[in-house]
Amino acid sequence: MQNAPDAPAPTGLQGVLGAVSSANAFRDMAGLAGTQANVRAAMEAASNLATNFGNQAAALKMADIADKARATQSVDQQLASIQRAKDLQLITPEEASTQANEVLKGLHSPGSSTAPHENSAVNRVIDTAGRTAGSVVEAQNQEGHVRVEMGKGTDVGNPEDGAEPAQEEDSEPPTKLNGLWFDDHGAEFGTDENFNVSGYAGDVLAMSETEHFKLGENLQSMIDYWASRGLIHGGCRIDTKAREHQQAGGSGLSGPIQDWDIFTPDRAKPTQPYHHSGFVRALALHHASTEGPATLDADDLEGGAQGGERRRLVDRPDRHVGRRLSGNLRRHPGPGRATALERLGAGR
Amino acid sequence: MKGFEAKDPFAYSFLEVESGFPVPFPEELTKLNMLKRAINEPWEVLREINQGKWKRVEAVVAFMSAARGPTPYTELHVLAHSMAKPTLSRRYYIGLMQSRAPWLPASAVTQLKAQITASEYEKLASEGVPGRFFSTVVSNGYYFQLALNNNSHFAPDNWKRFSDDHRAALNLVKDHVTSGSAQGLTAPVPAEAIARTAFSLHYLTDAFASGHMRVPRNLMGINGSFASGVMHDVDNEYGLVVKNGLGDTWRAFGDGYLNPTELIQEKLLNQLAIAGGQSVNAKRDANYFNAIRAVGSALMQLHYEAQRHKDEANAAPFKPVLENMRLPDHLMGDNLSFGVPGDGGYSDWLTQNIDAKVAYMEKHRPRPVGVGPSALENHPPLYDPSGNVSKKGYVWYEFELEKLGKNKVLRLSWHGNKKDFDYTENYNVGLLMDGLLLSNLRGGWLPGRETWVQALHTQLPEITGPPPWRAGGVSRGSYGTRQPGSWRPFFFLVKAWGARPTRRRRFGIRTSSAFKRRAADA
Repeated sequence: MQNAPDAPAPTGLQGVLGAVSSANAFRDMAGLAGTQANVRAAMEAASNLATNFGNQAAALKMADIADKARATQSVDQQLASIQRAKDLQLITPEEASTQANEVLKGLHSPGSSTAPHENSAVNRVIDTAGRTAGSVVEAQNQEGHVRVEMGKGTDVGNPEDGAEPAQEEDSEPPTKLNGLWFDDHGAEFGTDENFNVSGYAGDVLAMSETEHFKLGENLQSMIDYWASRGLIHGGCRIDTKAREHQQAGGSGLSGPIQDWDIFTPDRAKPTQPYHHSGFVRALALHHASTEGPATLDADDLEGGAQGGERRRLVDRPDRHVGRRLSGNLRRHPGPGRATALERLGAGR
Repeated sequence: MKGFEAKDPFAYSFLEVESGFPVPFPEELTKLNMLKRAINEPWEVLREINQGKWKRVEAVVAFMSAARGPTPYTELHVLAHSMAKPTLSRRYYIGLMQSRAPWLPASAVTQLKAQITASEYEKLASEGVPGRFFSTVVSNGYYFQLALNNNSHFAPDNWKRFSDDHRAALNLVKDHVTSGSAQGLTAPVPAEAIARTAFSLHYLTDAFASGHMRVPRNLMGINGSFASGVMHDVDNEYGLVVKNGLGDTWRAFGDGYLNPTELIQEKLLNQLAIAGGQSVNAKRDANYFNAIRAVGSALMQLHYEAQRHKDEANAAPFKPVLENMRLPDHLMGDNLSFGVPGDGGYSDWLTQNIDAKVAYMEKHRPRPVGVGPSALENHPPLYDPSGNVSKKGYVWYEFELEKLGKNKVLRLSWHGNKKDFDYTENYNVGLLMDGLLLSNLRGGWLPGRETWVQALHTQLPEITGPPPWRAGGVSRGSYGTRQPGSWRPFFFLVKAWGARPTRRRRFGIRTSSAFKRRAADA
């Protein structure tokens, strides 16, 4: 136990994730935030991540791999997690004791090293946090941080939303991060030769073929929108901090994964699962930083109820819709932007 | 990478060539000679390896391998997030690797620095390594292997692959919504369904590349990898007139010609417009729009498949979300796509089953029209479906460039046009494959030999003389004696600009580019 690494100082719930991610920071992030980020980023609307067929497939494969992952996590860190969860009153002392016993029992059984996301004790902590509206889970280390913001059930003005309670109240502790990122979907691909995870990753990658990226780019706006309307089961939305990374002299690709902000859906609002302020702020920042013609209005952001975008697509084939939306927000900071942000719940 | 780990001289030479470090002029010939030396003098190269004279490539490969990480997940992570935007420059440099691969220990950088010179490190830190090198090493060699086994990216397999995976995705949606096992869930479209359709769309978009439409890739197999590359390049650049099941006719170009700007392509489009009038779409971006329409249609179908089951009893948990997306004449979000989900109108789209959806997608498939002299018809396939080399339209010739060896050129004469395609690299690399079979050090890590490309020489007419496109008073078709050195000024200009006059750079032997093009077939 004396070899347990120093855990980061808890701030809000950041200590929960921080405690399980301090020793070998990225390995743990790969098991938790990193995996979550990558598994779902391309599938479900990473704000800054240009997706493509290859990455979509890669993300799917990551999902499968994540289910099978066995990231090593020290018992010391698991106990530290439990301790901090107890200190933060996320779990009761009795629960902490029970969960600590589970961890210690694992010391004496084969294969006791499990990935944090597969450890029931850790999962219980995360699951608790996930049911806490507005919780922020943050991991801090010398290379950066990961921040996970849970949906706030009360910060959106639309009264018809947020009325439904969370429906997952299993009596047994979850064995995975149910409802947050991990579920059983994709497991069937484990036997599909196209998604075989035992060999190289290459078969599902698009490699660096520009034409596929360019054609796939066209889809991202619709996937983003579907996610914002609660159509997509699984995943989260991610601000990959590409803008900040580029401003800091980076490549313009996504920023270091440690710096990503990860936004989880608020399951209490099935038709607007991402309408919490943190995500909307990130989305607005992203939109404000990109180029595009100023032709769309707020309705376009909301899915084109008024129609008409198709004509503009024909007019400007070189720009995909996502950039059009961005341009609208950037060039019309007045009523159009306000309307859009209000609809997204961030106009206040 | 089995060959590299076994210290195979060819593997070392190949990665050295691909690593992007400068080699003496003439660059391409130097690289080719390095590869030939690995075959002809393998023991010399092996001795150098054991003497530590190849430490640079060893150090860079070790660094990239460390960035690849210990698991398929880490490999995927580095590949996916380093390739997110292929149009950006400055990819695959050390800082990028560090930010994408935090499992990369600081000692990896230290070790790299110790093995290479300061200027070499500076290059890696600022410019990085070429994409091919990155892809090859980080995928543990799979990238190169994929280029040799890419049948599924060519017709007819590519469309079948798309259809199968897209159908599977539609079934995922259906099962998710109707199985009744999704208590507590509200979102009707599994993310995995989106991912699986997106994966399938790679094959769909391959089907829109003219170079993937007629190549008998299955028949040619691994022994025709480089020959299929020649035909692939010809059809991609020259394009094909195609029709789909929606009544559209246009000229498709392929892969890198998503935005066709070559002079010959402009000319062919003009010819098509004149010959076809209003019955054809002779716009430059016709293929692009038909492709993104198909892409959008496929994705939209996932939503419509979920909507189809909205009122079923088991779908009750999803009903609020599904109803929220409905508008009088379309679904919310539809206008963010350029597709149409099916035949008929809105009410039909909401009710069509999976078979109908897949059948509708089939209508998007571009099919090349027949061969003929008209601008509304196509040039002959270099290899027909039986694998025979075309007796019409093609000749080959070679010319020598001082210090650069012999270039081999295929000339297509059709539609009143003459178009030359340099296939020197395909030819040379094909020969290298033969040589590798004779190498005792190969260790079985490179499969097969190339036999098909040589059929071009035995079955096509050869013309002799200087390059017919030569400028400066030598008219086309006048084959006199080549004047040594007459090409060099222009070649030096090209080198000085660092530019490529066309995507198919005519000048110089482009051995290394062959690997890129083969990989691009995928």
